[in-house]
Amino acid sequence: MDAKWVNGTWDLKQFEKEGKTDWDSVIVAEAKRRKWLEDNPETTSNDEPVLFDTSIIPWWAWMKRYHLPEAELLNGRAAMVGFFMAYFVDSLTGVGLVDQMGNFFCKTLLFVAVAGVLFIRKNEDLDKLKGLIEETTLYDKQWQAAWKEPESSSSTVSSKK
Amino acid sequence: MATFALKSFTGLRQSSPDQINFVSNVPSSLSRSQRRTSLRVTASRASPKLANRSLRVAVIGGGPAGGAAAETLAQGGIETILIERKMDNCKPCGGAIPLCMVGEFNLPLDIIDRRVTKMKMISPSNIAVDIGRTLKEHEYIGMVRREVLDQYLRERAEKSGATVINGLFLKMDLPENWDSPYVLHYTEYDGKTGATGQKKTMEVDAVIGADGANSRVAKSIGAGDYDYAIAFQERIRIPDDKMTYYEDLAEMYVGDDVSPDFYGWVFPKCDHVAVGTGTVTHKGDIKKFQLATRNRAKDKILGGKIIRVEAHPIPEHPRPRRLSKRVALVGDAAGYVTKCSGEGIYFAAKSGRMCAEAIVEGSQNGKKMIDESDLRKYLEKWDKTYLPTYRVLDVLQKVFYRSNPAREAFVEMCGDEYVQKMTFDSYLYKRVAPGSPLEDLKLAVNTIGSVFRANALRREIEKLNV
Repeated sequence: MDAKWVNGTWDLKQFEKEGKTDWDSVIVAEAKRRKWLEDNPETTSNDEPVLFDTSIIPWWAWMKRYHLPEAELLNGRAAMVGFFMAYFVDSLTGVGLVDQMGNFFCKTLLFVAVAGVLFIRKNEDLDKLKGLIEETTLYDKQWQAAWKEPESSSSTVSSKK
Repeated sequence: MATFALKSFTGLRQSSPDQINFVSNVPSSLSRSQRRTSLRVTASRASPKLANRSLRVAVIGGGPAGGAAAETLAQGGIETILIERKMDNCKPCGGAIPLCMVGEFNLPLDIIDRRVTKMKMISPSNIAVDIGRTLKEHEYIGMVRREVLDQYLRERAEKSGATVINGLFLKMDLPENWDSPYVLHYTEYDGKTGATGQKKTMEVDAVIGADGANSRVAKSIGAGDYDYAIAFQERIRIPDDKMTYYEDLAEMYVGDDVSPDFYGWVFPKCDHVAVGTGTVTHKGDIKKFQLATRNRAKDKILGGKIIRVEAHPIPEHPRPRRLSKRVALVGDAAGYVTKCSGEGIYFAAKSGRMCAEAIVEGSQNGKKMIDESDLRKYLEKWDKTYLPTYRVLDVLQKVFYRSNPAREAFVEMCGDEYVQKMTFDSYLYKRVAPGSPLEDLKLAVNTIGSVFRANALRREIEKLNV
């Protein structure tokens, strides 16, 4: 195992660069460890328990490494598309950018666009969302199946919750 | 042993025509007779009194559900017959019962082999988290031997006045008219081992199907099929020094190697441990998952000898129809096993009791005939009381068992004291306790953080794969 893995957790002192902990290399080291275990599952042992907790890595390190690059990409694309859409609408209708923003329809479209980008970032996300919605309601449907029969005699209310 | 058990439920799967479409169409014969009786039967108050006899109810299956149902029926003054095919049946089962079951069913404390007060959750990357710090002195998870518990409940039913018959239920003739009896066909064993038994019939007014995951009663009434998981378990006797580690501790292993949609476990039993795993989606690979579970626990069960191998289906959700006229399903036959934890014993016993209570009330202690509306009251009460619990556990399973990063986040979350307290409160006392809103908010934030971190690490792993 890596020499930096001491007593069931990463020894942060060995990850220091210029006097500060290099969180990126901690993240990469932990990913390597997990990949190794996924491919070669090992036995757990009581003498050498694994104690590492990912929450010791500060939130901004995660943001910097994962969220910000993706946000930059999406915002850049949105800005380019937004600029050309505004130009296009202006050239067609003569309504300038400031007046476009004042229109209720345009505001709604903008809201839909922002919400859409939050949930649908890749083409696969559309199918994923549809699958998720179906999944969340499946269990309920299975339980309510007992109540769906056409009731002939019962005096009870058939539609529930 | 295991192959025999495996054959029986794969047979069930193939024989049912509507196994994929779970919202099954109502079988035409039943709907015809329902329509015929729709003008007649309004409410049970209009049912006639039974002339000089009590209501006769048969309970098929003598497990926790059957035993609890038979006892409540007999105590309510109803003529009860309990039919069980194997009196010494050693069920492949985790054997864990919550604290509230001991109180609610007046179980004697010597039925409980072990009190588990500590649990260890182990993530795919072997991060281990200890659970149980928040348990109070008197709180524990009881580990029982199913043959002991089942026998005790059956004996109690017999003492209350039920007749216990050692027999195998074969099939049931449905009544043609609304007041005709159900005719049960069964094989009665006279106690001699190896005897083929005698074919007999019995006429009863109502039937409670408590005959488990492969329920024949369910088949008789066209209750429809359900998705099920296989649980595979090996009982291993380990050396004494290793057994002390499991004195009051149970372990749960999560990971793609152990199960793609469930967990692997090491549960301590009376003098050995049960090591097992389960799955719904990859039933063919169950042996592989079992090997992986044993591998993860290798150090702790080294030198152990396998004394028994067993497997059983576990329902994942209720059958589309849980009752029909005067036949109701309870326990595993109805599909009352929770997701996420796979807990079934308590819910089986409780549903048996609830159904029996509905029958006792609807028949006014056995003096009147009952009809479907009385049994529907049991379904209503059950759904109202326990649907939130089932829903919460379903959400937990969907969120936390779907992938390795989700499982890592799950194990991380379990380290939190608030989570432990809420989990044990809801498990031990079977109520979805409302916690404090501030703590809930913190919990939500922490959950999102854990899931985000785990998924970020997975993306890192994928980058390394390239």
